[in-house]
Amino acid sequence: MDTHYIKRQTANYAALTISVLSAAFGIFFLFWILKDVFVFGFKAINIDFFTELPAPPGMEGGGLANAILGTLLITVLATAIGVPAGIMAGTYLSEYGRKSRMASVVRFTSDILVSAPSIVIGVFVYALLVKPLGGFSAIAGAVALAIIMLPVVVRTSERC
Amino acid sequence: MDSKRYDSARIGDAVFKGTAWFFAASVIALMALIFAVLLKESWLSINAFGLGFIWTSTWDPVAMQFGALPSIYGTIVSSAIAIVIAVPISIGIAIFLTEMAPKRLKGPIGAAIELLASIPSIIYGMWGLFIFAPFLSEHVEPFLIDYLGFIPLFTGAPLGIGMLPAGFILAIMIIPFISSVSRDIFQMVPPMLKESGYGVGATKWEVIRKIVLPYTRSGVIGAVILGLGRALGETMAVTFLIGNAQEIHASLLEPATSISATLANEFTEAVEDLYLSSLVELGLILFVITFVVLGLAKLLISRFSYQGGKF
Repeated sequence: MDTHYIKRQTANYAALTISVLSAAFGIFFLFWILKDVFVFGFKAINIDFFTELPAPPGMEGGGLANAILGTLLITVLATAIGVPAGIMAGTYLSEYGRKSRMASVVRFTSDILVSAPSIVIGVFVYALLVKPLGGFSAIAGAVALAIIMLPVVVRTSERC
Repeated sequence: MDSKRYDSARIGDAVFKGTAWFFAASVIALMALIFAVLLKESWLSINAFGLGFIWTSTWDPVAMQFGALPSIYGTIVSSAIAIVIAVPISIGIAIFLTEMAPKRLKGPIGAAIELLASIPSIIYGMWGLFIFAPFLSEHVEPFLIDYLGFIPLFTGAPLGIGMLPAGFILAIMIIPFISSVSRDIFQMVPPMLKESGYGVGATKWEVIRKIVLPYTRSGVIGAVILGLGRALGETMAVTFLIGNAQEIHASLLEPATSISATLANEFTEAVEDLYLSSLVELGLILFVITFVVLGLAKLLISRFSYQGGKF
């Protein structure tokens, strides 16, 4: 008489245990990665790291000032291009377009662009800006980042 | 006076509307432009190799022979591994966060899982190569080869890099996306539905399986496809871990490659036009794959979406 009840209880506890283990799995990897990043990172961090240029291979010292500045510059440029454009498009979707055909196409397109692999965007900007202009540039990098940001900004600003 | 002010406000509004329309249209134009530019740049390779590009498995930059099969195979298999590992774990996490965790723990644990999504992919790649790969090759893969070696999937040398490690890291990367979207959807299940389940004596698992999951099915499928989309296009972590060999092996422990890994490794080396063009065609194929997967997902979601009471 009780076997049915026991079976249901067992299934219940098994499923709940698996859920707890899943959460533990995620947290375990988070802390493992963070621990290693800090342990290895702290050894290399000092004032020079932020203010010096990279040393030639084999030399001691040096820093990543150029890379840090480049990250800042490209991010600022990309935000300046991508955010206004995205907010305007998002405003169109929520205020003017709403249920029009145009708006649904824009929504569909930005949902697909959100998941467009970043390397494909890179290849696109390479063909569009790097090859014709004859060299890599911060502008090209910023444009690529702006394209990656655009659909996210569009969909988020529509929702708010 | 009043009508003048009214007019200028109307003009301002029209200009604003026009600008908003322009930027909305530019999203569509951008998509079309990406397709057009990729197609134009890969024309040379499309002419040279035709459709055979997709199922040829030689990739030989010296002899100028290019085939995309190893890359396409690697992209699909590594993403499939990631989905198989990540989906059950993510749904487990979402269930834990919505149905089981005490209120005080919900916030911190949810935030910790979401933090996994904010780790840059290059960190996953470096961590995977320097810490996870040696760990796998010393402690996990020899065990797999000894005990599961009779399955062709687990043969070869314990290198620590290859299809399985890449798929595993991909899984960790997409878990936060699938689990946080699923958690948000699980929270939208009306409490009345769950309470009526408990009211007739259902266990927690029965409520989850027979009420929560059916009610949220389309949303969870959407979350999984979102994760799949990320896994297909993920570049740096895969490039570090997959081994970058233009080969196809049955074994998941052998080095392989993926479309994004091939692009990341070879794009700056490609000086000949045909080489570069073949790489762009690979990018085009990847774009088409993600386009099709996401299009399918949208179709599925609209077909299976919840229609009051029927599930």
